[in-house]
Amino acid sequence: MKITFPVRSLFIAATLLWISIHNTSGQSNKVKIDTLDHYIEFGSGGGITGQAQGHMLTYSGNVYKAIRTLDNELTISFVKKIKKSRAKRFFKAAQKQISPDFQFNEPGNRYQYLYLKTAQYTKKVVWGSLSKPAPKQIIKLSTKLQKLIL
Amino acid sequence: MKQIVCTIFITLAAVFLSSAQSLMEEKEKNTYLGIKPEIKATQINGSNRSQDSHTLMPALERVTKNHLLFPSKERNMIYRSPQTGQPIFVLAQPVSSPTARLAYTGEIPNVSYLLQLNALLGLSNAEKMFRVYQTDIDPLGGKVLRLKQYYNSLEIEGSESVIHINQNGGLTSWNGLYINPTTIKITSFSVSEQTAVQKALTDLGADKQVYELSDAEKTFLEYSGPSVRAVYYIDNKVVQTCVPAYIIEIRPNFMDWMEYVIDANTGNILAYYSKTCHVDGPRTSKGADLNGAQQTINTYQIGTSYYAVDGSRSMFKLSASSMPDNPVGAIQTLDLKNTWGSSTTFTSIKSSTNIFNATTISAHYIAGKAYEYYSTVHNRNSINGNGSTIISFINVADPDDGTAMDNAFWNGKAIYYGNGNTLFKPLAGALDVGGHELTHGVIQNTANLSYSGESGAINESMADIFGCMIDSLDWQIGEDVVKPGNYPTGALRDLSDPHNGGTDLSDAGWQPRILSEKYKGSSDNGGVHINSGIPNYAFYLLAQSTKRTSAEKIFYRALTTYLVRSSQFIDLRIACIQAAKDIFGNSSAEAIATGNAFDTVEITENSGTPISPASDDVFVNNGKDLLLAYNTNTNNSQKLFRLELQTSTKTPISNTVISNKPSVTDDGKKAYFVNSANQIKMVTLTLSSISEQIVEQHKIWNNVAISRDGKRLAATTIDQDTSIYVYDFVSQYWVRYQLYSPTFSDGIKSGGPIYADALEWNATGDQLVFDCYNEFENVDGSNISYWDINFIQVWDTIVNDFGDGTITKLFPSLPADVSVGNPTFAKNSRSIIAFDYIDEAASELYVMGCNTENNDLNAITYSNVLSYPNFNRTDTKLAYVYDAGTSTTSRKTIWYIDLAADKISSDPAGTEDVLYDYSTWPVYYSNGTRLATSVLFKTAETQSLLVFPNPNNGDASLLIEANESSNGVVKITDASGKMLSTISITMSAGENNIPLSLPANAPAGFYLVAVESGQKKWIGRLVKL
Repeated sequence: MKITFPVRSLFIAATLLWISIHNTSGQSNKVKIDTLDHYIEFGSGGGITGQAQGHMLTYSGNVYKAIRTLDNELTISFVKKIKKSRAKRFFKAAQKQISPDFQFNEPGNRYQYLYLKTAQYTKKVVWGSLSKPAPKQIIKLSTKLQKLIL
Repeated sequence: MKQIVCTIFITLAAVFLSSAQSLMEEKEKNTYLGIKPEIKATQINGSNRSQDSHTLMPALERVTKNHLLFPSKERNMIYRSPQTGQPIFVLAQPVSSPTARLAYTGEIPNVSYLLQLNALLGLSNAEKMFRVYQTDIDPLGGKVLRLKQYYNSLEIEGSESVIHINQNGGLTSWNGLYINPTTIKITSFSVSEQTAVQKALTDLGADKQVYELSDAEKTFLEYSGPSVRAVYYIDNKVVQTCVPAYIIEIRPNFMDWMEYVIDANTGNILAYYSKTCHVDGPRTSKGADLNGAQQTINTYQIGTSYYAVDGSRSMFKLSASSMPDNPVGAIQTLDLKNTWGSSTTFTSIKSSTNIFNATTISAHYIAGKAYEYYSTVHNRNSINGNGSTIISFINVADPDDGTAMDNAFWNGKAIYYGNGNTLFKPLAGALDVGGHELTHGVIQNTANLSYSGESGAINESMADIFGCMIDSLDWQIGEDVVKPGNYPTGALRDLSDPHNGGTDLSDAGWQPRILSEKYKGSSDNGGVHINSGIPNYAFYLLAQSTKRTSAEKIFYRALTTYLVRSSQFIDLRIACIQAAKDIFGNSSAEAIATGNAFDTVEITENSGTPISPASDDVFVNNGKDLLLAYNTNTNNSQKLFRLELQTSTKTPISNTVISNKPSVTDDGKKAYFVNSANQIKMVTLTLSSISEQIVEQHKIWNNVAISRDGKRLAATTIDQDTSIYVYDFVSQYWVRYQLYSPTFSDGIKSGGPIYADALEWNATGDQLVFDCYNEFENVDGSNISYWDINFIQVWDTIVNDFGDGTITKLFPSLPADVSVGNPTFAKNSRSIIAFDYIDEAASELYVMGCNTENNDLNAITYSNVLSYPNFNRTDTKLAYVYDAGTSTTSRKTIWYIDLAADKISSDPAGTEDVLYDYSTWPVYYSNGTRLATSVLFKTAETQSLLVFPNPNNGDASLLIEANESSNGVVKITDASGKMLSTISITMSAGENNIPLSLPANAPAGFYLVAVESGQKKWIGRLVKL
């Protein structure tokens, strides 16, 4: 099932929403979507189209595929659920690496990104420039998140 | 002066750390075997937080002279090989005098051009080193001389270069390869020619039939036997060397024709090639592309196999290639086979029949067409302008999850084509898409525009424009690969109408057409694929009002000769108009049409700021422009002198021999320095009452810096002492800060800072920037050593006491053999720093500037000795040291260079010249004041925060007096700046008592507590026992 949100109404629309989500095998699962004001989005974008797509991990452990159009319209579709405790560890690690003061915005023609949204702050980290590689801890965090979808 | 708190015996039994003779030599500290005097100081160890500390800048990459706007003091544009450091392209200064141009009527002998190479390339006998072997007429006027290089009258095989002569007879450029003769270490030929021939024959016998040809065969082949040429041969196998060698052509049998290169001293085979033409080499193949059209592509045959490698272009270098997988100067298409993640593999595309699939044909054909476009229209030799191999990957899956990729991209090295998914068919089916991606490579090698904001939009626009010129049938992008129903017009974008059938951004493919429609959000890295519509449309309008061929030449010239990484729309306008004037004349219809086109899209002369200036965050000192410097003329006893820059009046200040750069208070009244006896001295700079006194008598000091307000002094000792000492003139305390490494890279086993050297205080007097010598042991047991730049918190302005010694690195890592040092703050911008960049391997030194706020980094100029850069009063000039002496005699000279508004790059319209001869350690200063409210820092209103009890066991309360009820946030950070917790609070009007607990596992030490509410901020320090 796909859910499309104009970003400005994303948080309202998705707040504590219970929805039915069909997984790929056709079974119906009840998945609680958190407030979506607490999530990590990771993926890549750019190229000739400029579109960005990746995945979103919510605080409760839901993993969604996330596609953003040029005007930032977000479409998500449920992929899997991981243990909440594991999700919390990712958030802890993300908040440690992407602190409120941390800045890194060096896109290339194709870029990767990490978007951290917490109750306290939001932060986007973008990298892809050959001349300005991302800090190692960011690459490490991104790699760990990517492994979620393998 | 020295109140005892605790005694630190500075007994530094330093271990001598051997290091090679280097550019950093003058900063190295020697072993001291005696016993030091002692000073009494409180010791602060700082916080040794490892692994996850932040640095102010990303990792520093290697710098070459290609990074300089003017890579020569003579302002000839010199590009150097990143591998060898030798010039590979030199743009000579144009003939400046119109009279001189008109005076050229007759033929100038070639030797006069060869003589000019001496100045251009720094040679002394170019007329003997080079010989002109071919002269061609340049279609644009003038001529082209092709040169070969000789050494000891023998040709240096492969060392060829080109001189361009303009129609006035002026030498305009040199490019190519030349070998510095000093690198030829062996000149003798000890192996005989016969031995070399025998060596080749023996080697041939291993896999070829070798026999003496009959007379009939020899006559047919016009072959009388092996031919031998003695040459100097450039061997690039490991590092570039040039050695005596024999080049032997030999026909071992009637079929084969081989060439061997034999080392003339070792007899080793350096290289061998088959010159037999009837088997391997370029071929063509025909087949249908993804659109069903029949195309001819260039392939390469090896034996009975054919590869998607185009070795037919003039840039192809067979001798440097390893065929078929690693060709040099070829157009190569590779197959990623839809692999992804850790399973990613790619292969050369091979066919036994010389028939290739449609995707291969499309991608390979596109790369060839794009190469031809740049070659024929813009005289550009491939992506980098120097014959680099063009690589395309087909069958590219989404790198993140392996799904079919609905995109194509350039990753800095190659073009990647996805096979399409929901929006697109296989992307290699579109010539304009491929042209777009290849153009990103051209951009990367020219203006290197960034990928965000307006710079990114120009980047995308240039890729669209030249993609569209390569696929010149229409003005649309991607129309051949868009699946029906996804875009209103069936095209991804349209240069002739950026709205592309839509009404706003919610319509797929819509772009703004004029500046007032510009997207101002943060999506798409600031709208790089959105706002590209505006310059796209300007280009379209220009092409319509002139010709496509005129417009493409104007934009290409703007891209390749004017735009820079941070260029904005206004820069594009200026660049294009200037390019049009350059090509078609100042008053040409094309120049006017260019202005009109940009006017129409609302990029007018007043629509922006050409560059992003670095703003002052401190008021500028209103005094005179003065320079304090040190006389290096040994015949002159006057050492420290003052130069009034407006009048060039020089005034001697001191005869004391000093050991390092002096430091001056912000009011220009006092200078501190270390004398030759290693004591700290102060000299007053007021000319009517110059006086000098020792302020610290221990003979241990190496470097000193005075804070701008003159209240604190920081110093390092002459020993390998892992410390920085700070003295507060008010409390009369010394504090010794123990240096540590705040970060460790992967693979580091042990080690750390050894000693600090140069120091400078920041504007607010709470932080020092310093350089530091480090030694580390890798896990493999090898040692690395380098200098880096760090910041240390030595004063706490809130509690008005010594700081906690937290250290932050400027760069997390440096390239191998690179050091950075001698940092200096801009006078008026906290985030701007200039420093020396030293590449020991290349023996090169650059003066760099960086902005820690936006992570921008630039090479400002170069030097040949440690340059000790220093900003002037207004941050519009940078002084530095350059050695104008000979190889045997030093003559340190202070130069200055005009800075651009960003304060970290040279001003293209500015000058770079000698400021004062026979002098070093320039320090610009002024004798005025800054306004009373001198700090312009854009921070919230900050007040002290009462934390009680303090010290405590981790539980305390905050007492805050608030004017009104408000919400706030409490942030607790440890001494290294690591955020421990953030707590939301609600405050009432009046006194608020807020309980606070550190995390249970928080160790004893200092913690910073900050409460933020709107524009108000309270800061206090918590000490856990």
